[in-house]
Amino acid sequence: MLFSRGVDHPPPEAEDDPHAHWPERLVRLGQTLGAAGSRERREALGEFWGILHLALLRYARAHARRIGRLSPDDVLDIVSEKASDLIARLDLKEWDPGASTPALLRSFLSTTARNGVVDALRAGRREVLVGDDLEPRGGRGIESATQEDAVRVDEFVRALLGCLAVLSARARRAWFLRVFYDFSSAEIARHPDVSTSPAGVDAMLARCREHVRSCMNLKGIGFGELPAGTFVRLWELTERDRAALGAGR
Amino acid sequence: MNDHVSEDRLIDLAAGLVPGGESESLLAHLRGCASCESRFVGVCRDLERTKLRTAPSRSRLVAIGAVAVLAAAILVAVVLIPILRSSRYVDPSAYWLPVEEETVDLRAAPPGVDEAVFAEAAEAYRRHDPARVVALLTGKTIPSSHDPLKLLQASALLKTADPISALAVLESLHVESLPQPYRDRAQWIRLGALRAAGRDAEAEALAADIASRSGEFARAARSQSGRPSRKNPAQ
Repeated sequence: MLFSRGVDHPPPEAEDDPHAHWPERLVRLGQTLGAAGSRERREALGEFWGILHLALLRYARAHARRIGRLSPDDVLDIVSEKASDLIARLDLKEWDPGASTPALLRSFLSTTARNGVVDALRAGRREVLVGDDLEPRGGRGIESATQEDAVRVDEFVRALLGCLAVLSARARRAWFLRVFYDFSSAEIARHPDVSTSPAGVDAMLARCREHVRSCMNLKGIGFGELPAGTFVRLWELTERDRAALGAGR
Repeated sequence: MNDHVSEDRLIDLAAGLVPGGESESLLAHLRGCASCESRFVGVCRDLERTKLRTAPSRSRLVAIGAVAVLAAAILVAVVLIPILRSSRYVDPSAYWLPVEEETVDLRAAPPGVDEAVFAEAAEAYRRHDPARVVALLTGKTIPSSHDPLKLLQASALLKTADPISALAVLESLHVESLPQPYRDRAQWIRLGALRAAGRDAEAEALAADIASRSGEFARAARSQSGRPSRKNPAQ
């Protein structure tokens, strides 16, 4: 488990949430893609790709949980394949999400993901319990409730943000990708917000770790573990506010 | 905290599709729900991973650049060089003998030969300096051991608008007796010299002869057939 706090309720089944915004957004982006200039199209396509990927992942995991067992890597492969195929069909004007309705688009993506899962199972891919993938892979150093007992999360986050503020936006981004998303150095190096060599990432992260550790120690707060709730607070303050952390580009 | 946040809503939140007030209530839930927070981390991680698939890295850009350079090099090698070569071959006076491929063997020079001058002439030709070649070799007796050098001299004379002297040098070479590829190359220079000298009938006959063979200049000679002579402006 990534966080120490007990799970009060089982995670919800991946049923369609009628209040979801992303299907409508995909339809709108589909309409934009049909009429946009090259620059707008590029921006719209980037957002479309991200949401499409998330939606297919969500459906592929749900179907895999119901109809078979696939490894997390297999699910990712299926989704990448399907997403790439859909984008290619979009380019060739063989698929027009802008002409669809949000409900139809959901149904189409769910079917697409299901077909991918079924094909993969038929092809006899390695069977591994997929339910594990529903829980995020372990983030580094985010574990214990003892920290939370000693220091209030808000205080911890404020102190952490103060320490992170000294770092460059690029270094902060690299640190965030490693600590919360467990990205490898090669993945961080490829990230558009960082864009450097894996060796450069390693050096950058070593400096970050050292700085954050000593800075937090100066503030009287140990930095061995991140209390539950830290990610959401940092995400609120950093991911949403790109000017603070993610606006390295 | 009875209801967990649905995965759809987590996707909305991660993609920035949830309006301010609405997102505040979702985030308030996430702050207090370890399960939802950890699922939200997963969705955010997935979203970040999509960026890795769409954004080329610096090293990938370098690789793309290298591939582009390689493709351009192949294009030059496969398309442009033959075109350039053929156009060069079509005009004998523009043809440069490949000096690098046929070193002038000065070791076989008889005693008393000014090897340094010959070596310098070969080097001047390699630098595409025909005037220097002519200046170095004019009045010098070139022994038969240095016949390739005579070819360079004839070519340089043609390039310096002295086709008559070029023909005289070639005459002393007894072109027909030369081994290949020197014979073809000598004939090609001779063709240029004949045209430059206005000896069209001889040039036409020679072009037809070269064209009828399967040598290095056969194709170029075929395109030369029937071409009007290019009188040397110096004459």
